[in-house]
Amino acid sequence: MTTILEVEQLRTRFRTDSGVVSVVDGVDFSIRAGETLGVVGESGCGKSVTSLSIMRLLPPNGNTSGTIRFHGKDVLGLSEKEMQAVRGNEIAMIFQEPMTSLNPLHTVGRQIEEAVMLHRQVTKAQAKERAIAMLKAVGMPRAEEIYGEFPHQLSGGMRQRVMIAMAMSCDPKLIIADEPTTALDVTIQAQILDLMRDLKEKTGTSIMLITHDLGVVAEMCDRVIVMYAGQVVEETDVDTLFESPKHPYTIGLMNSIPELDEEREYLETIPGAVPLPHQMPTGCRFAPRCSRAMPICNEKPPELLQLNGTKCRCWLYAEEGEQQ
Amino acid sequence: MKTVRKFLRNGLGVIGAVIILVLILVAIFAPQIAPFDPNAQDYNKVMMQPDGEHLFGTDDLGRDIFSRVVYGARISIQAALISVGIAMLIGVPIGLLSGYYRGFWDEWVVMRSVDAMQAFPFLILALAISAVLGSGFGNAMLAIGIGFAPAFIRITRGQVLSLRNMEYIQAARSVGVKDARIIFRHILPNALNPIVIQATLAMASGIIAEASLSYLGLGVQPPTPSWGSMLNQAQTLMSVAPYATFYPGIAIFLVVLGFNLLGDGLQQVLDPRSRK
Amino acid sequence: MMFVVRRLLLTIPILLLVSIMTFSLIHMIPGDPARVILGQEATPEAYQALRTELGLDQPIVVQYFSWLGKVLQGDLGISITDRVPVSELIMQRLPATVELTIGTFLVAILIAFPAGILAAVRRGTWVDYTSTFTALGGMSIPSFWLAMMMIIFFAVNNQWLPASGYVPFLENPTQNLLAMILPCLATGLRESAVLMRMLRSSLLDVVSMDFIRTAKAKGLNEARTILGHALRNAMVPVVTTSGLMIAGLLGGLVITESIFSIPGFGRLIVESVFKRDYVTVQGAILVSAVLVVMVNLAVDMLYAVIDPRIKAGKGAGE
Repeated sequence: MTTILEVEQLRTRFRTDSGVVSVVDGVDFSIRAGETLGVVGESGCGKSVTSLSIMRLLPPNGNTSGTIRFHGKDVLGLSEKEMQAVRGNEIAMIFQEPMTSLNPLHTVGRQIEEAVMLHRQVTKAQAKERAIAMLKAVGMPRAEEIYGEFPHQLSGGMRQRVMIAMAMSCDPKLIIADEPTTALDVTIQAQILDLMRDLKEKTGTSIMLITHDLGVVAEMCDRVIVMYAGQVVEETDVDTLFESPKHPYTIGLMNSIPELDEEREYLETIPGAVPLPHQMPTGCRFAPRCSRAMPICNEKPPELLQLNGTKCRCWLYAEEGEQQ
Repeated sequence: MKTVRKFLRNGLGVIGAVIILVLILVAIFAPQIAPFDPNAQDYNKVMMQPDGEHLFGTDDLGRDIFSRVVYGARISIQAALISVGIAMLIGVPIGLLSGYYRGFWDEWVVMRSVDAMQAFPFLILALAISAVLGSGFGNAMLAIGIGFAPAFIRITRGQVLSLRNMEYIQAARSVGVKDARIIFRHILPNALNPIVIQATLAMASGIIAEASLSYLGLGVQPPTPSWGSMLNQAQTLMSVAPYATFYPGIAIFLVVLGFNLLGDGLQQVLDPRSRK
Repeated sequence: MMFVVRRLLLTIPILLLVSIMTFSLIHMIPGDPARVILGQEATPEAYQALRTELGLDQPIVVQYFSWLGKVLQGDLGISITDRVPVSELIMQRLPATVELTIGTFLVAILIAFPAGILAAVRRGTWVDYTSTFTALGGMSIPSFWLAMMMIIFFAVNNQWLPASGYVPFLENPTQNLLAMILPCLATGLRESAVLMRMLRSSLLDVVSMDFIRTAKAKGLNEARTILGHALRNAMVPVVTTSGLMIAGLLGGLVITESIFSIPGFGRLIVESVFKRDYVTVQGAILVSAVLVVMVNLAVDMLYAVIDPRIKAGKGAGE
């Protein structure tokens, strides 16, 4: 399998009133063709900023450094115009809030057509045909009618289907889905995930799926990176992740999933909160919240260690890492 | 203190405050600043170009324009304070009561009257009120104040409506705190910021409105020096003494700019919803 | 449709209150209106005749309803000084004011839209600061003084444009338009400042919304994102401001009309105030208020055209 996206030492900083803060701090990962990569972590750990950095859609006070290579192209080196030809065409994005991510004043059809007409040499009629075909492909009943309807006439799940239709309309090689089901009801969530999986199998597109929900990861992903405080703390394939999670943070996340077959009195949660970007601990960033923290954890930041099929950023595995 | 420091960092707002401060000082010390009696006529020096003696020149009656502009500051600052004062005196209590008690009076009497009042173009309303009451500074102030009142009713009422459902107000009510105390001790202080911003911006409009009415001959009556009436008198001389129209206008512009800058600056500091 | 009907019904109480306020005008004159109008030297016969004409000898409620009845038929009474129907006077004066309003509005949007969009797109740059500061300055210039400065520059020092000489458009279109340039510029510049600030802040609100990010993620460039997606969403407050502006102008051109000797509606009111022609003042302010109510109604209907959610009975904020 070929690698389509390679991210190396990605750093994203924001200029704010209280100085420059680093939200993404030296992130490496790659996505192969046809693969679904899960990006997991609590809110505030830099997942969304990572995705917006790849799309180069950060607000004006944001600044990205490092390397992002997409299909051999140096994304950060592209001109804005070249980047526009990539967005929506080769890399498409699905956002978290279907209620607000569609333009309320344009019909659904027009919003899908717009992307098609922008990136393909097609007539208006062909674009319309494509839009209706896409609406059908995402499982919309009465696609012809919905084509002419406004977002406020649709439910949240339907709107997210529209977002997916829009994202898929130009056959992108990579779809970045940022918490695509978080804002939806549980039953609708399952439908949308099924839809995404089906479409992925049909088209062979790669997906970068950002979520805080390990259930979604289990259902959708091939490989996973776990992010904490702007860094990757664990990277592995999805089976290994659930069989033997390494990083205490990952283990903490696992323990906070409610399970139906287990009768637990309390749902475990990780105490504390993600540190704010301008008050990062000097040692391991997770140490203040870690139940297994050792003296060294507060002194020196751990490296991302190569373990057996897993990468992990934790002092607990320092010896094991050296042996490898 | 934090608010003050935040305001001081807002450059334009500070410039506005300084302009207004200068205006107030000029108004207070007008007799010391003005080199001539603003009403003293000198028939040997009619329509003189600005020179070392008469900084802004003289008008058709030989009066020193600089001195008249300086004294005009008194009318202008009074116009700002009195007209907005009247508007607040009418608007804020009505807005407070209407928003707090709601119901039929609020919905059908107060708010529909506000709608109806705001249907009259502002200057026309002021003209009509002046027509009824007669011309003169006091009546002009009343006319402008009444014209501004609906805006204060609206803004105060809107604040009360959003505050009255807050937990701490509900809590105060549930333990039996008297309405009057809730309104004046709990609601009014929290509703004050937008009212203050509105008042500052209304002062800018009040100055323009007073100048407009005086320009039309319905405000301050001659010979009292007011910038509006100076422009009225200078208009007929535009082709021979253009400088006579220049300085009173610049004075109005600067002062109105001052209030607008201050209002804008206050809005950015006091109103959390406002943008940078 | 429900939206339209509801909105129409809401104007009825407002128009009623407007009529009561206008009617009360004559009765707010301190003392005896007929005496104030005629002066102390009037003969008892003339005094009695005016009282009858104004209906002052009847109970006030009867007066109001008979006045309202006439108004509804388009009868605004007879001018006390000119002895012609007030409605006729108003119809003579309205065309010039309407023309002035349209011209001013054109000047305002032609300046405000490019400037507002540019300031919003280049937010935080010198383009933004310059235009925002200029707008704040523009808002602070009294329009009648700006008018005078323009007259001095364009008409007195250089004979480029006429400062007066209004003729009806149909009589002499060229002269009419020439005479309208300075008045429209003088008021339009100020209004453009107000509109530009509104457009800028409204656009800045919109460009931070999620669907703008979606539009960019599609690959649209800045210009197409702003013009195709942000602008229309930013229009509701701008339309509101424009409506208020047109409404205000219809009556507020009083001063511009005075300076440029344009026989407009505003001037009619000023003249009537000085002549103590209360019947004309009353009729004219009633007409101005009704026009404003109509403009506001039109603005609300426009919302429904701009935003499909309003027709559906949902607020724009949902």
